[in-house]
Amino acid sequence: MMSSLLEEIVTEIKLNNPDASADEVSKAVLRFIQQDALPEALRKMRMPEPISPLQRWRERERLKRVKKKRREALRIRMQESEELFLEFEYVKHQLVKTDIDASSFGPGLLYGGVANPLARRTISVGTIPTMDKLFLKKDGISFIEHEEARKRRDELSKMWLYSPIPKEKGEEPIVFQIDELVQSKIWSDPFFAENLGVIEKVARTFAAGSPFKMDFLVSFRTDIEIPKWQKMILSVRVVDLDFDRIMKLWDEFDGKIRKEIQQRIGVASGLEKEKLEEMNRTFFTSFKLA
Amino acid sequence: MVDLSQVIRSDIEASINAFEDNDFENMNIFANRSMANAIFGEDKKLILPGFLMKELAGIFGTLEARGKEQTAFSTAKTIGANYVSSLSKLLREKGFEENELWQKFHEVSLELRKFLMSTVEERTYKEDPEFTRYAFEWLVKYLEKKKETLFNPKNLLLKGILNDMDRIFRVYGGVLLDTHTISLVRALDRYYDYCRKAYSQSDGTLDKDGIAKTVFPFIDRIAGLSSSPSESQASIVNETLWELVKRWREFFLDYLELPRPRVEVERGIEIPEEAKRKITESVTKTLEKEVGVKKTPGR
Repeated sequence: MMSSLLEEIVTEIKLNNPDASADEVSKAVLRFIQQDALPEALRKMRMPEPISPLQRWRERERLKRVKKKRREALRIRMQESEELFLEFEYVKHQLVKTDIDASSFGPGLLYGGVANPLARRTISVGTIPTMDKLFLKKDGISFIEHEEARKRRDELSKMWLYSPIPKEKGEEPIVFQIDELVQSKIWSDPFFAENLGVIEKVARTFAAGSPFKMDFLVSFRTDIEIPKWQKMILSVRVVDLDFDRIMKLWDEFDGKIRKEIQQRIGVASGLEKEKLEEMNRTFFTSFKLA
Repeated sequence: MVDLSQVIRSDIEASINAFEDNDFENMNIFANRSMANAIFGEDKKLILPGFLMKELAGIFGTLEARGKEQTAFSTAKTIGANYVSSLSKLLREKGFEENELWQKFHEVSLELRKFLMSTVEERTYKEDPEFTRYAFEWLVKYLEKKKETLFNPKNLLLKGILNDMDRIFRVYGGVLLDTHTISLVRALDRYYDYCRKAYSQSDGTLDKDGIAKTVFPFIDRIAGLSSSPSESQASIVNETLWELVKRWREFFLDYLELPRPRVEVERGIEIPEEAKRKITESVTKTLEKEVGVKKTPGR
Protein backbone atom coordinates (compact mmCIF):
# COMPACT_ATOMS: atom_id res chain seq x y z
CA MET A 1 0.00 0.00 0.00
CA MET A 2 1.45 3.32 -0.94
CA SER A 3 2.28 5.54 2.02
CA SER A 4 0.07 8.41 0.81
CA LEU A 5 -2.93 6.09 0.59
CA LEU A 6 -2.17 4.67 4.01
CA GLU A 7 -1.94 8.17 5.47
CA GLU A 8 -5.23 9.05 3.82
CA ILE A 9 -6.92 5.99 5.33
CA VAL A 10 -5.49 6.58 8.81
CA THR A 11 -6.68 10.19 8.68
CA GLU A 12 -10.20 9.02 7.76
CA ILE A 13 -10.23 6.52 10.62
CA LYS A 14 -8.97 9.14 13.08
CA LEU A 15 -11.76 11.47 12.02
CA ASN A 16 -14.32 8.80 12.84
CA ASN A 17 -12.58 7.72 16.04
CA PRO A 18 -11.03 10.86 17.55
CA ASP A 19 -10.22 9.16 20.86
CA ALA A 20 -8.45 6.16 19.37
CA SER A 21 -4.74 5.80 19.96
CA ALA A 22 -2.28 5.14 17.12
CA ASP A 23 -1.89 1.56 18.35
CA GLU A 24 -5.64 0.96 18.33
CA VAL A 25 -5.98 2.35 14.81
CA SER A 26 -3.13 0.24 13.50
CA LYS A 27 -4.57 -2.91 15.12
CA ALA A 28 -7.99 -2.21 13.64
CA VAL A 29 -6.53 -1.72 10.14
CA LEU A 30 -4.47 -4.88 10.43
CA ARG A 31 -7.48 -6.87 11.65
CA PHE A 32 -9.62 -5.56 8.82
CA ILE A 33 -6.96 -6.51 6.26
CA GLN A 34 -6.58 -10.00 7.72
CA GLN A 35 -10.23 -10.81 8.27
CA ASP A 36 -12.00 -8.95 5.49
CA ALA A 37 -9.89 -7.22 2.87
CA LEU A 38 -7.51 -10.07 2.07
CA PRO A 39 -10.12 -12.84 1.79
CA GLU A 40 -12.35 -10.52 -0.25
CA ALA A 41 -9.50 -9.52 -2.53
CA LEU A 42 -8.47 -13.14 -3.04
CA ARG A 43 -11.95 -14.21 -3.89
CA LYS A 44 -12.58 -11.42 -6.34
CA MET A 45 -9.19 -10.94 -7.98
CA ARG A 46 -8.82 -11.82 -11.63
CA MET A 47 -6.41 -14.58 -12.48
CA PRO A 48 -4.23 -14.85 -15.58
CA GLU A 49 -5.14 -17.59 -18.02
CA PRO A 50 -3.56 -20.89 -16.96
CA ILE A 51 -0.77 -22.24 -19.10
CA SER A 52 -2.02 -25.09 -21.22
CA PRO A 53 0.16 -28.18 -21.89
CA LEU A 54 0.54 -26.98 -25.49
CA GLN A 55 1.72 -23.54 -24.40
CA ARG A 56 4.16 -25.18 -22.02
CA TRP A 57 5.54 -27.32 -24.78
CA ARG A 58 5.93 -24.28 -27.06
CA GLU A 59 7.61 -22.36 -24.28
CA ARG A 60 10.05 -25.22 -23.69
CA GLU A 61 10.86 -25.37 -27.41
CA ARG A 62 11.39 -21.64 -27.50
CA LEU A 63 13.71 -21.80 -24.51
CA LYS A 64 15.95 -24.25 -26.35
CA ARG A 65 16.93 -21.47 -28.68
CA VAL A 66 17.91 -19.14 -25.84
CA LYS A 67 21.41 -18.99 -24.30
CA LYS A 68 21.93 -21.42 -21.42
CA LYS A 69 22.30 -18.83 -18.64
CA ARG A 70 19.24 -16.88 -19.72
CA ARG A 71 17.34 -20.12 -20.36
CA GLU A 72 17.81 -21.18 -16.75
CA ALA A 73 16.68 -17.80 -15.46
CA LEU A 74 13.59 -17.90 -17.68
CA ARG A 75 12.81 -21.46 -16.65
CA ILE A 76 12.96 -20.55 -12.96
CA ARG A 77 10.76 -17.52 -13.54
CA MET A 78 8.22 -19.60 -15.41
CA GLN A 79 8.17 -22.25 -12.71
CA GLU A 80 7.78 -19.66 -9.96
CA SER A 81 4.94 -18.03 -11.81
CA GLU A 82 3.14 -21.37 -12.26
CA GLU A 83 3.63 -22.22 -8.60
CA LEU A 84 2.30 -18.86 -7.52
CA PHE A 85 -0.69 -19.31 -9.82
CA LEU A 86 -1.48 -22.68 -8.21
CA GLU A 87 -1.10 -21.30 -4.72
CA PHE A 88 -3.52 -18.51 -5.46
CA GLU A 89 -5.95 -20.93 -7.08
CA TYR A 90 -5.70 -23.17 -4.04
CA VAL A 91 -6.32 -20.35 -1.59
CA LYS A 92 -9.22 -19.06 -3.69
CA HIS A 93 -10.63 -22.55 -3.82
CA GLN A 94 -10.34 -22.91 -0.03
CA LEU A 95 -12.13 -19.61 0.48
CA VAL A 96 -14.98 -20.48 -1.83
CA LYS A 97 -15.26 -23.92 -0.28
CA THR A 98 -15.30 -22.74 3.31
CA ASP A 99 -17.97 -20.17 2.56
CA ILE A 100 -20.38 -23.05 2.56
CA ASP A 101 -21.21 -25.11 5.57
CA ALA A 102 -19.91 -28.18 3.90
CA SER A 103 -22.17 -30.88 5.08
CA SER A 104 -25.69 -31.84 4.63
CA PHE A 105 -27.86 -34.50 5.82
CA GLY A 106 -30.29 -35.54 3.16
CA PRO A 107 -33.80 -36.34 4.22
CA GLY A 108 -33.28 -39.84 2.83
CA LEU A 109 -31.30 -40.66 5.91
CA LEU A 110 -33.91 -39.90 8.47
CA TYR A 111 -36.91 -41.01 6.56
CA GLY A 112 -35.43 -44.25 5.42
CA GLY A 113 -34.97 -43.24 1.81
CA VAL A 114 -38.64 -42.41 1.32
CA ALA A 115 -37.82 -38.87 0.36
CA ASN A 116 -35.81 -38.13 -2.74
CA PRO A 117 -32.41 -39.57 -1.88
CA LEU A 118 -30.65 -36.98 -3.96
CA ALA A 119 -32.42 -34.08 -2.31
CA ARG A 120 -30.04 -31.71 -0.65
CA ARG A 121 -30.24 -28.56 1.25
CA THR A 122 -27.80 -26.02 2.38
CA ILE A 123 -27.76 -26.00 6.13
CA SER A 124 -26.29 -22.62 6.68
CA VAL A 125 -23.89 -20.31 5.04
CA GLY A 126 -20.88 -19.68 7.20
CA THR A 127 -18.69 -16.67 7.24
CA ILE A 128 -15.33 -16.38 5.64
CA PRO A 129 -12.80 -18.09 7.86
CA THR A 130 -10.08 -16.07 9.45
CA MET A 131 -7.00 -16.16 7.31
CA ASP A 132 -4.75 -17.47 10.09
CA LYS A 133 -5.59 -21.06 9.26
CA LEU A 134 -4.81 -20.59 5.63
CA PHE A 135 -1.56 -18.76 5.56
CA LEU A 136 -1.06 -16.09 8.12
CA LYS A 137 2.11 -16.47 10.08
CA LYS A 138 3.10 -14.65 13.23
CA ASP A 139 5.68 -12.60 11.43
CA GLY A 140 3.51 -11.64 8.51
CA ILE A 141 1.86 -13.11 5.45
CA SER A 142 3.31 -16.14 3.79
CA PHE A 143 1.79 -17.65 0.69
CA ILE A 144 4.68 -19.97 0.06
CA GLU A 145 5.33 -21.66 3.37
CA HIS A 146 1.96 -23.10 4.25
CA GLU A 147 2.43 -26.84 4.43
CA GLU A 148 -1.03 -27.78 3.22
CA ALA A 149 -0.93 -25.30 0.39
CA ARG A 150 2.36 -26.74 -0.80
CA LYS A 151 1.08 -30.33 -0.61
CA ARG A 152 -2.10 -29.40 -2.38
CA ARG A 153 -0.21 -27.51 -5.03
CA ASP A 154 1.95 -30.57 -5.68
CA GLU A 155 -1.10 -32.80 -5.91
CA LEU A 156 -2.82 -30.39 -8.24
CA SER A 157 0.18 -30.06 -10.48
CA LYS A 158 0.47 -33.83 -10.78
CA MET A 159 -3.19 -34.56 -11.28
CA TRP A 160 -4.76 -31.75 -13.18
CA LEU A 161 -1.97 -30.34 -15.31
CA TYR A 162 -2.54 -26.84 -14.04
CA SER A 163 -6.09 -26.73 -15.30
CA PRO A 164 -8.14 -24.19 -13.38
CA ILE A 165 -10.21 -25.37 -10.48
CA PRO A 166 -13.85 -25.63 -11.51
CA LYS A 167 -15.70 -22.68 -10.09
CA GLU A 168 -18.88 -24.64 -9.46
CA LYS A 169 -17.16 -26.67 -6.72
CA GLY A 170 -18.04 -25.44 -3.28
CA GLU A 171 -21.45 -24.16 -4.19
CA GLU A 172 -23.16 -27.12 -2.60
CA PRO A 173 -22.33 -29.05 0.55
CA ILE A 174 -21.03 -32.60 0.56
CA VAL A 175 -23.83 -35.13 0.81
CA PHE A 176 -23.10 -38.32 2.70
CA GLN A 177 -26.15 -40.56 2.70
CA ILE A 178 -26.68 -43.80 4.52
CA ASP A 179 -29.32 -46.21 3.28
CA GLU A 180 -31.89 -47.87 5.50
CA LEU A 181 -30.16 -51.23 5.89
CA VAL A 182 -26.87 -49.61 6.82
CA GLN A 183 -28.71 -47.42 9.33
CA SER A 184 -30.10 -50.52 11.01
CA LYS A 185 -26.62 -52.00 11.15
CA ILE A 186 -25.33 -48.80 12.76
CA TRP A 187 -28.01 -49.05 15.42
CA SER A 188 -27.35 -52.67 16.21
CA ASP A 189 -23.56 -52.81 15.94
CA PRO A 190 -21.54 -50.02 17.64
CA PHE A 191 -18.28 -51.47 16.32
CA PHE A 192 -19.56 -51.21 12.76
CA ALA A 193 -20.85 -47.67 13.46
CA GLU A 194 -17.47 -46.59 14.77
CA ASN A 195 -15.63 -47.88 11.74
CA LEU A 196 -18.14 -46.57 9.24
CA GLY A 197 -17.51 -43.26 10.97
CA VAL A 198 -13.82 -43.64 10.18
CA ILE A 199 -14.65 -44.24 6.50
CA GLU A 200 -17.02 -41.28 6.41
CA LYS A 201 -14.40 -39.01 7.91
CA VAL A 202 -11.80 -40.03 5.31
CA ALA A 203 -14.38 -39.61 2.51
CA ARG A 204 -15.44 -36.15 3.67
CA THR A 205 -11.86 -34.98 4.15
CA PHE A 206 -10.99 -36.27 0.69
CA ALA A 207 -13.98 -34.55 -0.91
CA ALA A 208 -13.23 -31.32 0.93
CA GLY A 209 -9.69 -31.31 -0.42
CA SER A 210 -10.71 -32.22 -3.95
CA PRO A 211 -11.46 -29.58 -6.54
CA PHE A 212 -14.50 -31.58 -7.67
CA LYS A 213 -17.93 -31.88 -6.18
CA MET A 214 -18.37 -35.33 -4.67
CA ASP A 215 -21.40 -36.94 -3.02
CA PHE A 216 -21.60 -40.27 -1.20
CA LEU A 217 -24.07 -43.03 -0.57
CA VAL A 218 -23.38 -46.07 1.63
CA SER A 219 -25.45 -49.16 0.98
CA PHE A 220 -25.39 -52.91 1.33
CA ARG A 221 -25.55 -55.26 -1.60
CA THR A 222 -26.20 -58.96 -1.30
CA ASP A 223 -24.76 -61.55 -3.64
CA ILE A 224 -27.59 -63.37 -5.48
CA GLU A 225 -25.67 -66.64 -5.42
CA ILE A 226 -24.57 -66.41 -1.80
CA PRO A 227 -27.16 -64.34 0.07
CA LYS A 228 -25.12 -64.47 3.26
CA TRP A 229 -22.33 -62.57 1.57
CA GLN A 230 -23.16 -58.94 2.05
CA LYS A 231 -21.01 -56.21 0.58
CA MET A 232 -20.90 -52.65 1.77
CA ILE A 233 -20.63 -50.23 -1.14
CA LEU A 234 -19.60 -46.63 -0.85
CA SER A 235 -20.87 -45.07 -4.07
CA VAL A 236 -19.22 -41.80 -4.99
CA ARG A 237 -20.85 -39.44 -7.42
CA VAL A 238 -18.51 -36.96 -9.07
CA VAL A 239 -19.70 -34.05 -11.11
CA ASP A 240 -18.14 -33.05 -14.45
CA LEU A 241 -15.14 -35.27 -14.71
CA ASP A 242 -13.88 -37.32 -17.62
CA PHE A 243 -13.25 -41.06 -17.47
CA ASP A 244 -9.43 -40.91 -17.05
CA ARG A 245 -9.65 -38.47 -14.20
CA ILE A 246 -12.38 -40.49 -12.53
CA MET A 247 -10.13 -43.53 -12.61
CA LYS A 248 -7.25 -41.58 -11.10
CA LEU A 249 -9.47 -40.10 -8.43
CA TRP A 250 -10.98 -43.50 -7.65
CA ASP A 251 -7.54 -45.06 -7.15
CA GLU A 252 -6.48 -42.29 -4.85
CA PHE A 253 -9.71 -42.32 -2.87
CA ASP A 254 -9.81 -46.08 -2.44
CA GLY A 255 -6.14 -46.06 -1.42
CA LYS A 256 -6.79 -43.46 1.28
CA ILE A 257 -9.65 -45.44 2.82
CA ARG A 258 -7.81 -48.77 2.66
CA LYS A 259 -4.76 -47.16 4.24
CA GLU A 260 -6.83 -45.90 7.16
CA ILE A 261 -8.48 -49.31 7.67
CA GLN A 262 -5.12 -51.07 7.40
CA GLN A 263 -3.67 -48.75 10.03
CA ARG A 264 -6.46 -49.72 12.36
CA ILE A 265 -6.03 -53.40 11.60
CA GLY A 266 -2.34 -52.93 12.42
CA VAL A 267 -3.00 -51.76 15.96
CA ALA A 268 -6.04 -53.97 16.66
CA SER A 269 -5.95 -57.45 18.12
CA GLY A 270 -8.19 -60.47 18.64
CA LEU A 271 -11.83 -60.25 17.64
CA GLU A 272 -11.55 -56.55 16.82
CA LYS A 273 -8.82 -57.29 14.29
CA GLU A 274 -10.87 -60.09 12.70
CA LYS A 275 -13.92 -57.85 12.41
CA LEU A 276 -11.87 -55.07 10.80
CA GLU A 277 -10.32 -57.52 8.31
CA GLU A 278 -13.78 -58.81 7.46
CA MET A 279 -15.01 -55.26 6.99
CA ASN A 280 -12.09 -54.49 4.70
CA ARG A 281 -12.81 -57.62 2.61
CA THR A 282 -16.48 -56.85 2.15
CA PHE A 283 -16.16 -53.12 1.61
CA PHE A 284 -15.98 -51.63 -1.87
CA THR A 285 -15.92 -48.19 -3.38
CA SER A 286 -17.66 -47.35 -6.62
CA PHE A 287 -17.32 -44.17 -8.66
CA LYS A 288 -20.08 -42.81 -10.82
CA LEU A 289 -20.21 -39.86 -13.15
CA ALA A 290 -23.04 -37.46 -12.50
CA MET B 1 -56.65 -30.51 34.81
CA VAL B 2 -53.47 -29.63 32.94
CA ASP B 3 -51.64 -32.58 31.47
CA LEU B 4 -48.05 -31.41 31.88
CA SER B 5 -46.63 -34.59 30.41
CA GLN B 6 -48.43 -33.83 27.14
CA VAL B 7 -46.89 -30.33 27.13
CA ILE B 8 -43.44 -31.80 27.69
CA ARG B 9 -44.01 -34.32 24.90
CA SER B 10 -44.75 -31.47 22.48
CA ASP B 11 -41.60 -29.62 23.53
CA ILE B 12 -39.52 -32.74 23.06
CA GLU B 13 -41.10 -33.41 19.66
CA ALA B 14 -40.20 -29.85 18.65
CA SER B 15 -36.66 -30.44 19.85
CA ILE B 16 -36.51 -33.71 17.87
CA ASN B 17 -37.78 -31.96 14.74
CA ALA B 18 -35.06 -29.34 15.12
CA PHE B 19 -32.53 -32.16 15.48
CA GLU B 20 -33.76 -33.72 12.24
CA ASP B 21 -33.34 -30.36 10.53
CA ASN B 22 -29.79 -30.03 11.84
CA ASP B 23 -30.93 -26.97 13.75
CA PHE B 24 -29.12 -27.65 17.00
CA GLU B 25 -29.60 -24.18 18.37
CA ASN B 26 -33.37 -24.56 18.29
CA MET B 27 -33.05 -28.13 19.49
CA ASN B 28 -31.39 -26.67 22.58
CA ILE B 29 -34.02 -23.93 22.92
CA PHE B 30 -36.90 -26.43 22.80
CA ALA B 31 -35.11 -28.63 25.32
CA ASN B 32 -34.80 -25.61 27.64
CA ARG B 33 -38.47 -24.88 27.08
CA SER B 34 -39.33 -28.41 28.09
CA MET B 35 -37.45 -27.99 31.38
CA ALA B 36 -39.03 -24.56 31.94
CA ASN B 37 -42.49 -26.10 31.53
CA ALA B 38 -41.63 -29.07 33.75
CA ILE B 39 -41.05 -26.86 36.78
CA PHE B 40 -44.70 -25.74 36.72
CA GLY B 41 -45.57 -29.11 38.18
CA GLU B 42 -44.30 -31.51 40.80
CA ASP B 43 -43.52 -34.50 38.60
CA LYS B 44 -39.75 -34.43 38.96
CA LYS B 45 -38.98 -36.87 36.22
CA LEU B 46 -40.44 -34.53 33.59
CA ILE B 47 -37.30 -32.40 33.58
CA LEU B 48 -35.17 -35.32 32.45
CA PRO B 49 -36.09 -35.56 28.71
CA GLY B 50 -35.35 -31.86 28.22
CA PHE B 51 -32.09 -32.11 30.12
CA LEU B 52 -30.92 -35.06 27.99
CA MET B 53 -32.00 -33.43 24.72
CA LYS B 54 -30.02 -30.34 25.71
CA GLU B 55 -26.96 -32.51 26.25
CA LEU B 56 -27.43 -34.09 22.83
CA ALA B 57 -27.84 -30.67 21.21
CA GLY B 58 -24.50 -29.76 22.79
CA ILE B 59 -22.81 -32.82 21.28
CA PHE B 60 -24.16 -32.22 17.77
CA GLY B 61 -23.53 -28.50 18.03
CA THR B 62 -19.90 -29.32 18.79
CA LEU B 63 -19.71 -31.70 15.82
CA GLU B 64 -21.19 -29.06 13.57
CA ALA B 65 -18.90 -26.35 14.86
CA ARG B 66 -15.92 -28.57 14.23
CA GLY B 67 -16.83 -28.59 10.57
CA LYS B 68 -18.70 -31.48 9.10
CA GLU B 69 -15.93 -31.97 6.61
CA GLN B 70 -13.77 -33.29 9.38
CA THR B 71 -16.28 -35.38 11.24
CA ALA B 72 -18.32 -38.48 10.51
CA PHE B 73 -21.41 -36.37 10.85
CA SER B 74 -23.91 -38.59 9.01
CA THR B 75 -22.94 -41.72 10.94
CA ALA B 76 -23.08 -39.83 14.23
CA LYS B 77 -26.45 -38.40 13.31
CA THR B 78 -27.80 -41.85 12.49
CA ILE B 79 -26.86 -42.91 16.02
CA GLY B 80 -28.47 -39.78 17.45
CA ALA B 81 -31.61 -40.34 15.36
CA ASN B 82 -32.07 -43.78 16.87
CA TYR B 83 -31.77 -42.33 20.37
CA VAL B 84 -34.24 -39.50 19.86
CA SER B 85 -36.70 -41.88 18.26
CA SER B 86 -36.52 -44.20 21.28
CA LEU B 87 -36.87 -41.20 23.59
CA SER B 88 -39.96 -40.08 21.72
CA LYS B 89 -41.39 -43.59 21.95
CA LEU B 90 -40.73 -43.78 25.69
CA LEU B 91 -42.44 -40.46 26.26
CA ARG B 92 -45.54 -41.64 24.44
CA GLU B 93 -45.84 -44.51 26.88
CA LYS B 94 -47.63 -43.82 30.13
CA GLY B 95 -45.18 -43.18 32.95
CA PHE B 96 -41.69 -43.66 31.62
CA GLU B 97 -38.88 -44.96 33.77
CA GLU B 98 -36.14 -42.43 34.55
CA ASN B 99 -33.57 -45.20 34.80
CA GLU B 100 -34.33 -46.35 31.30
CA LEU B 101 -33.84 -42.82 29.98
CA TRP B 102 -30.53 -42.51 31.79
CA GLN B 103 -29.34 -45.90 30.61
CA LYS B 104 -30.13 -45.14 26.97
CA PHE B 105 -28.53 -41.72 27.24
CA HIS B 106 -25.42 -43.26 28.76
CA GLU B 107 -25.22 -45.76 25.89
CA VAL B 108 -25.61 -43.12 23.20
CA SER B 109 -23.01 -40.93 24.93
CA LEU B 110 -20.57 -43.83 24.87
CA GLU B 111 -21.13 -44.27 21.15
CA LEU B 112 -21.05 -40.61 20.22
CA ARG B 113 -17.91 -39.86 22.21
CA LYS B 114 -15.92 -41.65 19.49
CA PHE B 115 -17.18 -39.17 16.93
CA LEU B 116 -15.95 -36.29 19.03
CA MET B 117 -12.41 -37.63 19.13
CA SER B 118 -9.69 -36.35 16.83
CA THR B 119 -8.19 -38.85 14.38
CA VAL B 120 -5.08 -39.15 16.52
CA GLU B 121 -7.13 -39.79 19.66
CA GLU B 122 -9.22 -42.39 17.86
CA ARG B 123 -6.16 -44.28 16.68
CA THR B 124 -4.28 -44.05 19.94
CA TYR B 125 -6.54 -44.39 22.94
CA LYS B 126 -8.19 -47.54 24.15
CA GLU B 127 -11.34 -47.59 26.26
CA ASP B 128 -10.52 -47.47 29.96
CA PRO B 129 -13.62 -46.88 32.12
CA GLU B 130 -11.67 -47.82 35.23
CA PHE B 131 -9.41 -44.84 34.71
CA THR B 132 -12.42 -42.58 34.10
CA ARG B 133 -13.98 -43.65 37.38
CA TYR B 134 -10.74 -43.01 39.22
CA ALA B 135 -10.22 -39.61 37.56
CA PHE B 136 -13.83 -38.50 38.13
CA GLU B 137 -13.56 -39.38 41.80
CA TRP B 138 -10.36 -37.39 42.02
CA LEU B 139 -11.98 -34.39 40.31
CA VAL B 140 -15.06 -34.50 42.51
CA LYS B 141 -12.88 -34.65 45.62
CA TYR B 142 -10.86 -31.73 44.25
CA LEU B 143 -14.05 -29.75 43.75
CA GLU B 144 -15.09 -30.49 47.31
CA LYS B 145 -11.68 -29.49 48.66
CA LYS B 146 -11.47 -26.31 46.62
CA LYS B 147 -15.10 -25.24 46.81
CA GLU B 148 -14.18 -21.91 48.42
CA THR B 149 -12.61 -20.96 45.10
CA LEU B 150 -16.22 -20.37 44.06
CA PHE B 151 -16.14 -17.22 46.22
CA ASN B 152 -13.65 -15.69 43.81
CA PRO B 153 -15.59 -13.77 41.12
CA LYS B 154 -12.96 -14.63 38.53
CA ASN B 155 -12.93 -18.38 39.12
CA LEU B 156 -13.77 -20.96 36.46
CA LEU B 157 -13.52 -23.96 38.78
CA LEU B 158 -16.67 -25.78 37.64
CA LYS B 159 -15.91 -25.17 33.98
CA GLY B 160 -12.37 -26.41 34.51
CA ILE B 161 -13.63 -29.59 36.17
CA LEU B 162 -16.17 -30.09 33.36
CA ASN B 163 -13.49 -29.55 30.75
CA ASP B 164 -11.42 -32.38 32.20
CA MET B 165 -14.43 -34.65 32.71
CA ASP B 166 -15.52 -34.16 29.10
CA ARG B 167 -12.04 -34.89 27.83
CA ILE B 168 -11.63 -38.02 29.95
CA PHE B 169 -15.06 -39.41 29.11
CA ARG B 170 -14.53 -38.68 25.41
CA VAL B 171 -11.22 -40.50 25.31
CA TYR B 172 -11.73 -43.38 27.78
CA GLY B 173 -15.50 -43.83 28.02
CA GLY B 174 -17.04 -44.55 31.40
CA VAL B 175 -19.81 -46.17 33.42
CA LEU B 176 -23.33 -44.92 34.20
CA LEU B 177 -22.13 -43.30 37.42
CA ASP B 178 -19.76 -41.16 35.35
CA THR B 179 -22.61 -40.03 33.10
CA HIS B 180 -24.60 -39.17 36.24
CA THR B 181 -21.67 -37.28 37.75
CA ILE B 182 -20.84 -35.22 34.67
CA SER B 183 -24.53 -34.38 34.18
CA LEU B 184 -24.86 -33.12 37.76
CA VAL B 185 -21.69 -31.04 37.53
CA ARG B 186 -22.97 -29.53 34.29
CA ALA B 187 -26.32 -28.66 35.86
CA LEU B 188 -24.51 -27.22 38.86
CA ASP B 189 -22.33 -25.09 36.59
CA ARG B 190 -25.40 -23.61 34.86
CA TYR B 191 -26.94 -22.88 38.23
CA TYR B 192 -23.74 -21.39 39.64
CA ASP B 193 -23.47 -18.98 36.67
CA TYR B 194 -26.70 -17.39 37.90
CA CYS B 195 -25.64 -17.55 41.56
CA ARG B 196 -22.60 -15.55 40.59
CA LYS B 197 -24.90 -12.85 39.27
CA ALA B 198 -27.39 -13.09 42.12
CA TYR B 199 -24.74 -12.86 44.81
CA SER B 200 -22.43 -10.29 43.27
CA GLN B 201 -21.95 -7.23 45.44
CA SER B 202 -21.43 -3.61 44.51
CA ASP B 203 -17.65 -3.85 45.07
CA GLY B 204 -17.38 -6.72 42.58
CA THR B 205 -16.96 -9.45 45.19
CA LEU B 206 -19.36 -12.33 45.77
CA ASP B 207 -21.49 -12.77 48.87
CA LYS B 208 -19.73 -15.75 50.42
CA ASP B 209 -22.61 -16.78 52.64
CA GLY B 210 -25.03 -16.72 49.74
CA ILE B 211 -22.77 -18.89 47.59
CA ALA B 212 -22.02 -21.28 50.45
CA LYS B 213 -25.69 -21.74 51.31
CA THR B 214 -26.94 -22.23 47.78
CA VAL B 215 -24.09 -24.04 46.04
CA PHE B 216 -22.11 -26.03 48.62
CA PRO B 217 -24.89 -28.47 49.56
CA PHE B 218 -24.98 -29.62 45.94
CA ILE B 219 -21.23 -30.15 45.87
CA ASP B 220 -21.54 -32.27 49.00
CA ARG B 221 -24.26 -34.36 47.38
CA ILE B 222 -22.22 -34.91 44.21
CA ALA B 223 -19.18 -35.81 46.29
CA GLY B 224 -21.18 -38.30 48.31
CA LEU B 225 -22.77 -39.98 45.31
CA SER B 226 -20.27 -42.74 44.69
CA SER B 227 -20.18 -43.80 48.33
CA SER B 228 -23.98 -44.02 48.62
CA PRO B 229 -25.60 -47.46 48.31
CA SER B 230 -25.95 -48.28 44.63
CA GLU B 231 -29.72 -48.77 44.90
CA SER B 232 -30.20 -45.19 46.12
CA GLN B 233 -27.79 -43.52 43.67
CA ALA B 234 -30.38 -43.09 40.91
CA SER B 235 -32.85 -41.35 43.20
CA ILE B 236 -30.14 -39.04 44.56
CA VAL B 237 -29.23 -38.11 40.98
CA ASN B 238 -32.82 -37.47 39.92
CA GLU B 239 -33.64 -35.49 43.05
CA THR B 240 -30.46 -33.37 42.78
CA LEU B 241 -30.98 -32.77 39.09
CA TRP B 242 -34.58 -31.69 39.65
CA GLU B 243 -33.52 -29.14 42.29
CA LEU B 244 -30.66 -27.78 40.20
CA VAL B 245 -32.76 -27.45 37.05
CA LYS B 246 -35.70 -25.94 38.93
CA ARG B 247 -33.53 -23.29 40.53
CA TRP B 248 -31.73 -22.64 37.26
CA ARG B 249 -35.02 -22.06 35.44
CA GLU B 250 -36.23 -19.86 38.29
CA PHE B 251 -33.08 -17.79 37.97
CA PHE B 252 -33.86 -17.50 34.28
CA LEU B 253 -37.16 -15.91 35.21
CA ASP B 254 -35.30 -13.44 37.42
CA TYR B 255 -32.43 -12.56 35.10
CA LEU B 256 -33.26 -13.99 31.65
CA GLU B 257 -30.34 -15.13 29.48
CA LEU B 258 -26.89 -14.48 30.90
CA PRO B 259 -24.51 -12.69 28.56
CA ARG B 260 -21.89 -15.04 27.17
CA PRO B 261 -18.52 -14.42 28.82
CA ARG B 262 -16.14 -12.47 26.62
CA VAL B 263 -12.55 -13.50 26.82
CA GLU B 264 -11.11 -10.29 25.50
CA VAL B 265 -12.67 -6.90 25.71
CA GLU B 266 -11.54 -4.77 22.83
CA ARG B 267 -12.53 -1.25 22.03
CA GLY B 268 -14.29 -1.15 18.68
CA ILE B 269 -12.63 1.08 16.12
CA GLU B 270 -14.87 2.04 13.27
CA ILE B 271 -13.24 1.93 9.86
CA PRO B 272 -15.22 4.14 7.45
CA GLU B 273 -16.67 2.39 4.41
CA GLU B 274 -14.59 4.49 2.05
CA ALA B 275 -11.39 3.50 3.86
CA LYS B 276 -12.47 -0.14 3.73
CA ARG B 277 -13.02 0.11 -0.01
CA LYS B 278 -9.62 1.71 -0.54
CA ILE B 279 -7.82 -0.92 1.52
CA THR B 280 -9.54 -3.81 -0.28
CA GLU B 281 -8.91 -2.26 -3.69
CA SER B 282 -5.28 -1.67 -2.90
CA VAL B 283 -4.80 -5.24 -1.62
CA THR B 284 -6.52 -6.67 -4.72
CA LYS B 285 -4.35 -4.62 -7.09
CA THR B 286 -1.19 -5.67 -5.29
CA LEU B 287 -2.16 -9.34 -5.48
CA GLU B 288 -3.12 -9.15 -9.14
CA LYS B 289 0.21 -7.50 -9.89
CA GLU B 290 1.97 -10.25 -7.97
CA VAL B 291 0.29 -13.04 -9.89
CA GLY B 292 0.79 -11.34 -13.24
CA VAL B 293 -2.61 -10.05 -14.32
CA LYS B 294 -2.10 -7.54 -17.10
CA LYS B 295 -3.79 -4.14 -16.81
CA THR B 296 -6.98 -3.83 -18.79
CA PRO B 297 -8.23 -0.54 -20.18
CA GLY B 298 -10.70 1.30 -18.01
CA ARG B 299 -9.61 -0.43 -14.85
